[in-house]
Amino acid sequence: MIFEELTLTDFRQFAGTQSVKFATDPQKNITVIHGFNGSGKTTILNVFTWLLYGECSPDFEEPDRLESESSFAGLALGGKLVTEIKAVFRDGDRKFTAVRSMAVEKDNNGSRRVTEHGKLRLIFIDELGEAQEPSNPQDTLEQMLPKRLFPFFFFNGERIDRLAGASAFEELGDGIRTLLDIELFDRAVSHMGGEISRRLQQDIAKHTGQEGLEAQANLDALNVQREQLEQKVKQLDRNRAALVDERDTIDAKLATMPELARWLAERKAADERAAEFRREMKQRKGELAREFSRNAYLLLVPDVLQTAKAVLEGSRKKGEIPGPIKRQFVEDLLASHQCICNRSLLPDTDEHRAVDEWRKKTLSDALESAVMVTKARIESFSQRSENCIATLKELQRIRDELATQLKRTEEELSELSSKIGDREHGEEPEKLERRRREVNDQISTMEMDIKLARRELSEIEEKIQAKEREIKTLKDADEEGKLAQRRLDAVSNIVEALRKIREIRYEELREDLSQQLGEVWSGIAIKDYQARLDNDFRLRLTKDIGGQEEPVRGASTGEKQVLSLAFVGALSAKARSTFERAKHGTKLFRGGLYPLVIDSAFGSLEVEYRRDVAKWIPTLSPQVILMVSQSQYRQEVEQELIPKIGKEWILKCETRKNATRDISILGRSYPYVLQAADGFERTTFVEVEQ
Amino acid sequence: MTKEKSSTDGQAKIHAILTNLSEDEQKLLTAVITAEGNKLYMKNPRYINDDLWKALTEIIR
Repeated sequence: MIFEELTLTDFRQFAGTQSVKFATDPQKNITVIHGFNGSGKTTILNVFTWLLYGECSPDFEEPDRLESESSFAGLALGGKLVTEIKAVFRDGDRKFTAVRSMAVEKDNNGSRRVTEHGKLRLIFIDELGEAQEPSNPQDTLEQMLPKRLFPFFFFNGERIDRLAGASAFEELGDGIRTLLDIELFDRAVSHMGGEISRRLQQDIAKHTGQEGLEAQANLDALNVQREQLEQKVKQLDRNRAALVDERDTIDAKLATMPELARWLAERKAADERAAEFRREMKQRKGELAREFSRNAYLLLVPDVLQTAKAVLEGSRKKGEIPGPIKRQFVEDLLASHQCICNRSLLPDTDEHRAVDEWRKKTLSDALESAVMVTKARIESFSQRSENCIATLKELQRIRDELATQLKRTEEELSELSSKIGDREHGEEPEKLERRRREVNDQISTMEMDIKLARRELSEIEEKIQAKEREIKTLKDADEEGKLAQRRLDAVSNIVEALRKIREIRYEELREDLSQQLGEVWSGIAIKDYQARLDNDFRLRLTKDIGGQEEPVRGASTGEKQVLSLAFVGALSAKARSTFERAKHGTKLFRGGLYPLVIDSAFGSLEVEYRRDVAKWIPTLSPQVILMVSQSQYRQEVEQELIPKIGKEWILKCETRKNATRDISILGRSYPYVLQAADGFERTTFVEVEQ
Repeated sequence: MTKEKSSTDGQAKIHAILTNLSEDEQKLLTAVITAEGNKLYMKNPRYINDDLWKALTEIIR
C-alpha cells in the first residue's frame, strides 16, 4: 500500500478542501510534513486511522467531532456539512481510491446532529481499465492492511519505545504473527486439523457400518472428556491465580508494617533462593532423564563385557584366535594343487588332506575381523560405561545437594513465618500470616491437582489420536466412506506439511530478523549492548558481564526508541522481501509493501542518534511520511534526509493568539504560525518548493 | 548462517515438503492458504470452515 494523494475536506482544523501529495519515487521516498505543536500532525495520523478503519486512536480527543469547527460555525441553520477523507493509493498492480465521509446537520436551534456516520467507498481500476467497486469495501481495505498491523506502520515516534517493553508482545503479538505469515499457517492447521477433520471422521463413521458408529461414539465420548478436563484445568488455574492474588494482598498489607521489614526482606531473599533451587533442580532432573534415556543401557553392559572378554581370552589361550594361518592362503594352495614346498596337493591324497586339516583350523576373514572389532569395542564400551556412571553419580550428587539446600531454605522460611506471625507484633500480623500459611498450603495442593489434571488430559489426547487413526483406517467402508477416508488422508498430509512449513518459516524469520535487528542496532547504538529477538519474537537488549549475557535493565527512552525503530524496520524489510519474492516464486507467503507514517520520529533522541536514524529511516520502507516540529527537524536530520526527500509540506497554522512565526526551509521562508482573522484555528497545507 | 543462506535452505526444505505431497494435495494446500489469506484480516474468520470444506470436496473427488 503506497499512498499517492490525500484529500481532506473539513476535517478538524483542516477547513475547506485541501490535498497533499506524497513522495512515491523509490529513490526519493521521503515526505516531510513540518508543523508547529497543535497544528495537526497527530490529526494527520488519525486521518489515516479514520479513513482505513473508521476509528481514531484512543488518545485523540472528542473522536465523534471530526468536522471543522470553523466550517460548522459558518453553516446556515438547517445546513449540512460533509467531512470527507479521500486517499489515492496503489496496492500491488492496482490503483485504489478510498473515500470515507460523515455528515452533520445544523438544526434550526443551531445544534449539531450527525446524519451520516463514517461511510466508506472504495473504487479500483481493473485489468480492463474499468472502475470496480467492491461490495464490502471495509473487508477489501483490511485485507490490504489488517488493523492489527496498523501500529507497526503508523505511529508516534515518541511513544514507540513501548515496543521494546516486556508487555509489547502481548499487545502486538497477533500483528507480528500476521505480518510474518505465521498466523495464517496457525489458523490453517487449526481449521484443517480441527473442524474439517471432525466432519470427515463423522462421514467415515456413517459409512462404515456398526464398527464405524461405535468408533465415532467412543471418539465423541473422549472429546467430551477432553472438554471437561480442559475446563477443569482452566478452573484450577483461575483458582490458583486467585490464591496468588490473595497472598500478594496479604504481602502488601504486611509490607506496610515497619516492625516486620527485616523479616519480610529476609523472606523475600529466601523465597528467591528457594525458587532458584527449584528451577535448578528441575533442570538437573531433565539432564538426568536425558542421560538415562541416552545411555542407561551402558549401566547393564559391564557383565556382558566381562563375559565377552572371558570368551575371547579363553579362545586366545586355546590358540583359536588369532587364527594361526590365513584361510585365503590355505584355500589358494588347495585350489592351485601345489604346496609352497612344491609337493603336489591333488585331491584324495594324504598331502591334500593334511593341508585341508589346516584350513579347518583357520578363521573366516569376516570372523577374524569381527574378533578385532569386538576387542576394540569392548574397550570403548567399558570406557563409555564408566563415563556414564560417573556422569549420573555427579548429576545425582548435585540434585541431592540442591534438595538439601531447598529443604534448609524451606525450614528457614517456616521459621521466618513464625517470626512474622509472632503475637509480639500484635494480632493483625498474626492473623495475616496465619492466613498466608493456609493460602500457601492451598496453592501447593492446587498445583498438584493442576499437574494431575494435565497428565490426565494428555492421556485422553493420546487416546483421541489413537481413535482418530482407527477411524481413518476402518475397513468395510462403502464408496462414500472410502472417499471420506481418502479426503482425511489428504487433510492429514496437508496439516503435517503446513506444520513443517510453519516451523521452517518461524525459524528462518527469527534468525533473519534477529540478525538484521542486531546489525542496525550495533550500527547506531553508542553502548556495547546487544539487540536480538528471543524465541517468541520478544525484543531483548543484553550486555556482556564477565562472559555472561545479562539483560539490560533501565535502558533509556531514546535507546528503546532506536531499538523499536530497528525492530519495525526489520519487520517492514522482511514483509517487503517476502512480497517481492511472492511475485516471482512461491505464493505460500504473502508479505506486503507498507508505508511508514511517523509522527515525531526524532522526538527524544540525542544528536548522535538523530543523525543515524535520519540516515537509516529512508531504507525502512518504500514510502516514509515524517511529521516533524522545528525542534525535531534540526540541521543534522535535514542534512541526512535532503537527498531522499521527494515531497515536503508545511502545516500553516492559524491561531487565536497574536503570534507570528516563519519557518525557513531550503533557504526560503514560509509563514508557519499566524493569527487567525476570524478567531477560528485552522491549518493549511503549503508545499515547499524543491 | 547468513541471511541468504537461511532463506535458501528454508526454500529448499519447503520445496521438498511440497513435492512430497500428491498433485491433488498440493492443489488443496494452495487453496487452503488462499482461503485463510482472504480472511486473515478477521479476528474470527466467519464461514472459513465452509470455504475449506468446499475446496476439499472440489479437489479430492
